[in-house]
Amino acid sequence: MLRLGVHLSLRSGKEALIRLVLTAIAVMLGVTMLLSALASYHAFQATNNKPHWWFPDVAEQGSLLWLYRTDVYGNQDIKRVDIAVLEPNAPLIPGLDRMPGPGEFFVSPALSELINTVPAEELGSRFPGKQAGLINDEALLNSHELLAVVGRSPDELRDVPQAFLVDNLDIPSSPHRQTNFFSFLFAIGMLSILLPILVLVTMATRLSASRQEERYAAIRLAGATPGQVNVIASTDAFLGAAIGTILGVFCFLFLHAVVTRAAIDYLPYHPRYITPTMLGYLTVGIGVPLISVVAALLSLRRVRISPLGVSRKTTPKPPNLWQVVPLVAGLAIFVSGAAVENGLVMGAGFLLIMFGLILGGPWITMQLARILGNKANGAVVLLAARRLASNPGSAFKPVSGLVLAVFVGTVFACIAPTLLADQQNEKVNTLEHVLTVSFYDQRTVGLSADAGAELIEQLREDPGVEVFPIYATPSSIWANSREAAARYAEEGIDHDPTIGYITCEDLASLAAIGDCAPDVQVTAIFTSPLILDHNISDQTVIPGTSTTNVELSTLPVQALLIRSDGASSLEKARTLLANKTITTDTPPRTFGEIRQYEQSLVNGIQRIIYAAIVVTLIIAGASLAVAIGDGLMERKRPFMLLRLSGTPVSVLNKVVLLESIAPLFLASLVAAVVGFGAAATLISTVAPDGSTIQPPVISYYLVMGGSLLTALLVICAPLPLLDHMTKSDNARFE
Amino acid sequence: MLVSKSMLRVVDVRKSFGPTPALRGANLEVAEGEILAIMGPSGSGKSTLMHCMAGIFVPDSGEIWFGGQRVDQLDEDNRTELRRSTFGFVFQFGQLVPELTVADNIALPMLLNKEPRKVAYAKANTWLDKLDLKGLGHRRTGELSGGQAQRVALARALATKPKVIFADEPTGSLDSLNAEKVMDLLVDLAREQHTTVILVTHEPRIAASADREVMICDGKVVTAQKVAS
Repeated sequence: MLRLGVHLSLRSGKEALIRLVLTAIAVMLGVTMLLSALASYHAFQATNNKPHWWFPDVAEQGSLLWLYRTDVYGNQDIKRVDIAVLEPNAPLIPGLDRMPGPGEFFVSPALSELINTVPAEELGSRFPGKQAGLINDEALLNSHELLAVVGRSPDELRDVPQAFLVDNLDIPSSPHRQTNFFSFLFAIGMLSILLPILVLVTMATRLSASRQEERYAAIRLAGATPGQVNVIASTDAFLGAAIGTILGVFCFLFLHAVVTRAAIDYLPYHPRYITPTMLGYLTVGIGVPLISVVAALLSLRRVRISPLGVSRKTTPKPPNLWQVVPLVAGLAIFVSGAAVENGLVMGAGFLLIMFGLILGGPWITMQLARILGNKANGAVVLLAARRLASNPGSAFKPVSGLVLAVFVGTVFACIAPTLLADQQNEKVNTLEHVLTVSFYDQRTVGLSADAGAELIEQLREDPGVEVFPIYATPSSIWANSREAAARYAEEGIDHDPTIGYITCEDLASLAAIGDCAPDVQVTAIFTSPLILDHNISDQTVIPGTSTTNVELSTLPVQALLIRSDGASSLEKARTLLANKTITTDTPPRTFGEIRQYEQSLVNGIQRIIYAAIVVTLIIAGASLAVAIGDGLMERKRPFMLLRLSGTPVSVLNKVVLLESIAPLFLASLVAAVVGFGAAATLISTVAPDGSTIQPPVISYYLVMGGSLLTALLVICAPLPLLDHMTKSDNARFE
Repeated sequence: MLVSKSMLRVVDVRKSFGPTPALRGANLEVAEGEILAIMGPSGSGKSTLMHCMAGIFVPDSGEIWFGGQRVDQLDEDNRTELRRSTFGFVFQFGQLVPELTVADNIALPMLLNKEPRKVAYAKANTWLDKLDLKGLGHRRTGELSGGQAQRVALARALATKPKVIFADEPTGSLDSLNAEKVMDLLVDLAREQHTTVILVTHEPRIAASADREVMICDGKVVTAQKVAS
């Protein structure tokens, strides 16, 4: 029976062969997308699950002295670990065959290349001694990572407050919050494309099911049992899916280089991680043909195939009004959550809206199609609308996945410009090339007065650099509140870490931060928002703190604002800072770099969401193309007779196109409108006062437009079939 | 029935499908308002002849005249236009669009002819009354009996007031009672509208409703006789 099944699939004429080819192509597309998604997900997980060895635990007794900090070069972070080996059995850093001794350093290949291409005083001089070798992939998250491991003598690190003892580098992976957020996004992205891929595979298996069922009835008439028909149907489904799966694997391997270049989390992944893994290959290789066989068998359960023909056991029930209840409830919960400013309630509403859009889609499709059909003034709209209204579930199925992606994408595309607009106020813009460096951390209030003065003097030796120091203020005088002052006193802290002194002359030079009262020399400012968060508000300068009798040269230097006239001066200043100071909490970045950093975060999220939109829209297009092919086979006779009766083929083409485009565009539109509404509510609730919703960024329109256009082209692919099928020369009824 | 003048003329028409000849020099004339039955055994070429006359097939040689124009020389677009605007068709089964209601199906050719929706549906309702389909306008065609479905097909064919109706085995899938009812309606309405009907059938009882019947055998019209009224 298996042999007969294979024979019927491969040697039953042109129609059977075309069907097999179309099924295989659709499955190939689905498998390629699936493997690409699995490979990207694996790369993301494998990269982020690598042990974060640079954050070891502090030990009471250790064999290593460890100092980790983040340096910056040209808006790229450099991970830097200074180590001093205390005992010969000290643990080894992954990716190194030995630890660097004093006066040696190891760097990643990318950093080594960078050091060799830029002047030493801008980068190379930050690493004392000579380069002893390269750090291999084992220690790196990706091949573009900048990493340095600098060897020190124990004496050099022993008195550094930020250095600590380490006895173990076998660190379990502990993704930080940002990675968890990306994982969550990635999981949503995967879910949103998995559903449409499965829909595509099952639809491809069901291609021209009605014609197949007629063949099975003929086989039954020839004496086959229902079980044997099931075997033949399974073989047919398996063959198409298996060929498609094999082609999909080859297609994925061919596209591997493209996926490798896909930058999801700022930087490209290491090529060896871009793989679906053997488990992924096996799951897809076995799962996809299995799903196809199950889909074929399930579809046979919906019909009764007897030797006398095929009859439907059940006709699809029209969608019920209750299906839109979750959507309405979700919108209500979201709005009420916004009204009481409760993020949890809003989040629940958000999830319910996403679920409700998918569940309620068929009902909305049916109602819109009915209205359209009852108002249609032309044959095209009437035919398409009635078809959509007759089975809205199957019309909506191919586009259900994209609803989720478009909804999430629209929410983000509306929120992103608002988030960025908030950071791009004019005051911050004037400080674009101003670098901030804070010397305050939990161990020290800042550089001592003498060290600070020396550093400032050295920095000012470069004529391209202006330095604006911020001095630590005695807590007894300037604590934010009496309670805070009392607490500082209790904890023995003699300076307020959140406030600093700056000269009025420097303040005037920086302009954006604020003004002093006339005829005073020094004022206090809130330093935390300025130095740590890079935010400036009208309240940065503390009113009533202007003074003339403060001897700044006696106070510790809490932070520096450094303005440079170009990249070279900026990097030289950073080199000096790296060599003269140790700042572990805040990497020395300019306001402009901070903005770019935040922009790159937004871009990273955007890229994941856009990838999901592109994939789901194209898959929806492919599913709709399969549905068109199936629908044409099913309606071959009425369509041919309509054409014979004088209906131009262009009218039939328009009918078929409208049937497919309408759900695609309507689903996208409804998801986008609901997404826009959710974003507007979100912004009016949680964004800072005065923030209003911004129109989505241009890339959103490009991605949506480009994907819809591609989907449209895919949808048009089966149209020549319609012309061929209904050609009057093919009509022979004798 | 008096034959007024020739409306359709077939002159030495030949048509083959691959190596198989279907028509081997068929000749026929049909008068305006005439009801003509084409009869013959299976594979004789009767449907092929009808499809050539309707401009569905282009003959390999010979001439097909409708009024003063050569149908066989028209291009695909013009033949399509001719079929839509001037001819009506009734087939054995499967011509109704399953997703459309009965009223939609009848209104469809008028909508294709760009008639306003209100006018198209008003005419469709008139045809529902005429064909004893009152109250069924909102039903899907799958909910109809075979006889009802063929009456809807008749209404659809007649709704645009065509000059010629081509009916290919219009009662082939009906029981005798329904077949008679459908044929009676077709003949009565055709006479009422003075519409020419070309009817392909292999049932003498159905052919008896026609003004004239012709026999076709091996791709040639072999006999033509007037039906006794």
